[in-house]
Amino acid sequence: MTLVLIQKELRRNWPTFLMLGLFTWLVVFTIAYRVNADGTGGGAFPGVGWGLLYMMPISGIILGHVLISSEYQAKTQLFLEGLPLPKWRMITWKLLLGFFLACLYAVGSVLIGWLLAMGSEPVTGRFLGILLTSACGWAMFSAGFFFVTGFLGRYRIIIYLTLAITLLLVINSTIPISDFPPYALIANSRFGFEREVWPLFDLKITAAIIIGWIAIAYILGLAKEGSISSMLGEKMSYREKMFIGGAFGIGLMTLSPFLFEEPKGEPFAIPGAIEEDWEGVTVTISSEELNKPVDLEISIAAKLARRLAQARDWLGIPEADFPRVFVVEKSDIEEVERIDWDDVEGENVVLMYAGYRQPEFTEGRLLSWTMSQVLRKNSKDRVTHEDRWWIVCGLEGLWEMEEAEPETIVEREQMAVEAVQKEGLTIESLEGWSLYQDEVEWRSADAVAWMGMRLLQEEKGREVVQKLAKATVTKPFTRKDARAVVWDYSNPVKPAFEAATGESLESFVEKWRNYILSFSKETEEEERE
Amino acid sequence: MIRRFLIVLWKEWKSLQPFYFLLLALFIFGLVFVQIVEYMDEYPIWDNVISTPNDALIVTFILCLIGVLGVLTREKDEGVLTYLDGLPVSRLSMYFAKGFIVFVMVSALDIAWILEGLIYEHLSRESDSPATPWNHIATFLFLNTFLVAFFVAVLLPVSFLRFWSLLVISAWFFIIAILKTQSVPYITWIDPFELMQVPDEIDEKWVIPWKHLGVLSVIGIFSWFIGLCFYSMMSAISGRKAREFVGSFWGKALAAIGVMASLIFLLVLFFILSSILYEKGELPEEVRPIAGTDIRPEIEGGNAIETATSKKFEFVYRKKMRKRARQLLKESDEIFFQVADYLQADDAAKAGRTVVDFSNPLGSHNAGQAYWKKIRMAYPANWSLEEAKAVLGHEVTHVLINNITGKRLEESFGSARWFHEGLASQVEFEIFRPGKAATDYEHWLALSSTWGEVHFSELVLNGVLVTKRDPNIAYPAGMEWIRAAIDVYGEEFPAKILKSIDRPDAPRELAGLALWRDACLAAGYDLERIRGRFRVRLRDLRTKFKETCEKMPEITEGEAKRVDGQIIITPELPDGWKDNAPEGAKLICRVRPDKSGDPGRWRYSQLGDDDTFSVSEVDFLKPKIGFQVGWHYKTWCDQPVFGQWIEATPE
Repeated sequence: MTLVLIQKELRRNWPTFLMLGLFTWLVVFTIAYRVNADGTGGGAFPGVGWGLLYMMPISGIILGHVLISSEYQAKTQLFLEGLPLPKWRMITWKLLLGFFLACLYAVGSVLIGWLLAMGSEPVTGRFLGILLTSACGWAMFSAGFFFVTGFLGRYRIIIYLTLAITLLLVINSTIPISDFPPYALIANSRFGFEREVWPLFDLKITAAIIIGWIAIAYILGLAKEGSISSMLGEKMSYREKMFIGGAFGIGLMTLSPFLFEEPKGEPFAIPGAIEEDWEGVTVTISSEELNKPVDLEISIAAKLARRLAQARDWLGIPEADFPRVFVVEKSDIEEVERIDWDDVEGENVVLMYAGYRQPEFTEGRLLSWTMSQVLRKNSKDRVTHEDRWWIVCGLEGLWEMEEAEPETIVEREQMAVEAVQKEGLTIESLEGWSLYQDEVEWRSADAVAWMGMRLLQEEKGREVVQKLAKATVTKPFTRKDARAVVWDYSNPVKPAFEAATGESLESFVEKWRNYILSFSKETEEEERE
Repeated sequence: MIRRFLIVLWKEWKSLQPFYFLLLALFIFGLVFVQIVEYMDEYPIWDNVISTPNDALIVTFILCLIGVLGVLTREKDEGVLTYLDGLPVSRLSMYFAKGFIVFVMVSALDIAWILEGLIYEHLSRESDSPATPWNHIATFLFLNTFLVAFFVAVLLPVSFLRFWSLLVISAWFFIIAILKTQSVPYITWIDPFELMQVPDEIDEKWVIPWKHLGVLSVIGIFSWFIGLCFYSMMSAISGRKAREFVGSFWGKALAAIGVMASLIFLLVLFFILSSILYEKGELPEEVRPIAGTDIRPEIEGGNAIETATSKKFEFVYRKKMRKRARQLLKESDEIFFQVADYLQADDAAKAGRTVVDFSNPLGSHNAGQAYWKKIRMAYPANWSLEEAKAVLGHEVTHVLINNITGKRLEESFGSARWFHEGLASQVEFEIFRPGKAATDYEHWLALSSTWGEVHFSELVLNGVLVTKRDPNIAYPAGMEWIRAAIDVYGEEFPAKILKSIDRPDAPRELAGLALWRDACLAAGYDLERIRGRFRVRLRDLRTKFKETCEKMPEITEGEAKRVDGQIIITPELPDGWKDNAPEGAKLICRVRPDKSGDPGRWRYSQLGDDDTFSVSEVDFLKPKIGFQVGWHYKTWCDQPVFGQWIEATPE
């Protein structure tokens, strides 16, 4: 009877078995040939490994379908159940036939690799043994899994989709899936290279999993005399397919942000650098050259930490939210400011580069630029929107000019004058700050913004500037989502300015322009005359 | 007639209701999703939709697949085709209506996505934003709609295979992928996913690939008609004889023979195409990869292989080179232990034998290649034993890096390639080559960094490096970086950093700067300080070789045109370049079909008498190409030094 059962399977499905074998071997051959001839892939056997990695699950799906699922779908299992032999024997022979075919495809693939590698790879008995056991282990694992899902009838589609999504998640996560059996047997890039060490641990675990699959297959096939599998074996309706497709499409989209999350490394630090802690502000500074005295670094770090703490308190940023500040010496920054910065993804850190031994460098500028990076970090980049960025630029100017030399102040005033003389200053300039920066050059635009804040401070007091800053650029955001956009739209700058200063932005801009122009040399000469 | 057709359309529309609910659900969810993970006012249409069309295309393809599969066969399977045949509507109308409805639904979804993108574009506009790229949006929509029609037309006949259609589609993708890796000419024209050749910049013209469009149209129309034939011939109820035949031995045999014949056809095709590929090795000297010719000598063949073993190696070589191989084998264990000592490898990392294969061809531009416990290496007759020892030492370093780190660096190889090559080069020059041999690398790096600073942040992103400059800069720059690290932290650096990478609690799959920041921090090193030292070393090199470097200016512009099956590139050469150039220095050019960074697809040319370069057009069928002009001054540096990639659209 056993022979009859096997004959029946072969008679019914031999074209499928044959085609599947040929297709598997063709794919494996093509990949192995390509990898071997390419000269970069390391030989034919790694190519066999890649081919088996993809083809064994595909073979498993099809074998599971034709040996198990199709019997239930076509209800031919009813005929089989009518035969005078126990059901477990039918399941046993189907499983054995499936495992045999999967192993046949795997062994054939390894032999194809051997043929391709002949004359260039010393194939010892041990090496061949490692290749064959690894390939068969993977083949039986794949076949076993898909036999189990074959008993689940239409719900196997859901399992496949879940599996695909889970795999996608795992592959993109920090879980080293290629280290775990059975995946490790074939996918850890040792297949085809490891000639001496048997993958015993991986083989044992894989064997245990295969036994588990077999047990589950028996339970599903024999439970309630196989009626559960019969029930599940009904075809899925078109509506069901679409519903499941939609559900998984949505599921995948929901999970996608987590797929690409960066793994976390060691917390950012600069070992051996000078570090200064002051009232919750940590400044770390590292010099470029070795064996230089660190007096300058100590001095910069101490001053910067104190002034950052002042600026933080003035803006009302909570101590716990304030990022750690790192300053790294970089003497070849071409920009005249000699300061640059970089993003440290995923950490509450501001990383500044500064050529602090260069004559153009000023500590005030380092403070102000660091603070604008702090505000950027604090708001998850929202303050960089042009309708608010001019406020940050203005604040930057105030911090920078606090201790600036009189000549620098005059020079900066003249830059603002030239910018306003060239492009004017209107409410549109503030709303289109990016374009204004392009038109007058960003340094001049910064000077204009600083003059505006200085005017506001002179006219209404430092508290009003503080109030305006708190209302517009210090709102913290921790996630990139629509809430930040909604907050920005519901707290536009114009009304916030009016609420903070008691004056409309339009009228202030008018004053601001005249204030800047009053510093022009011509005006001064006229006044003198 | 039209009314009857509209009724059929209405019927199809109703029957595909679950499909459009699926599309609607996806659209609404996508709409909400953007709000959860993005700032909708920082979402310009160019950056997020138009310039990255492949994501959208894959979704479009899947939707077409879901829509088409079963649309022709379901009625037969459900037994209602007889009823439909009873209506006064032709099979042509039914067939057309089915395809048309799927086309309309998927296209409508794509248009809805574009409209959504336009709303975000409007919200994202700042005063200095470039103008909304209406031309590009129109071109995108046109090509996308064409592709929807193409996918539907091609999938309709495939859908008759029911369960097997997925396998056929997978096979089709696989074949195209294999043929593409073989650089088979014209293959891009049958790949619909290559149709959207989006310009690099928003203000560039989008050249519509009319020939590609034409080829796909022919395929689409042909497939559509085949589907129509199948559908017209499909009987409402399978005849008894037909069913008997399909179920009989001969029926199955015929099907199997058909499949086998197709497979054999593909196999033959594969071999023919492969032979075309390998014939490329016989191209005239002037278009051969210059970098490869000197380093990759012909493999001596024609003899059976032999093997020989030492304590740490198993050599596989051809009989002809027995003497040389055995000489090297004698010294190989010492080479292994020298490298192992330098890297302070422990016993576990030193365990086992490494196979060294001298009998197989290598990839172009390579003298050796390392894998897990395996090395592929060239050892031609004109090499001295010292040369072979140096190359073996380089490759053994790769093997030991893998052994020591448990292959952890493989997890983000794009971020670690520079380190692998840099450390292997450092070992090669430090231990196995005479003191001055590294000057070639120093020249290379001096010239390259004179043209544009070599940033560490570029080195750790190999994909970016390949796209922007010569990827082989990873060798000298990596070596210089390792030397900078040794300057700062001493000779212990390589061993300590390797151990740090392999520490059990190291986060997995870190990439880019984060990987090296983590490794350095765990070893107690300051990455920024090493970066600083690296910059200083580069600056010193530039200063040291300033005089020669100034004689070889970077070529950053040029024009390309198509003439008689050739792409002629005219570089913009500075006045008097020939007189200023060092004696023996030559200009060479390499051309790439796209930015994918596969060196196997690059073609090389030397400067002709008319100061132009030329390559065969057949490898560059897309409208755009990229080219890179380099200096090959052999007495100064064995390798040619290439400048930046220049993008061009040959007329």
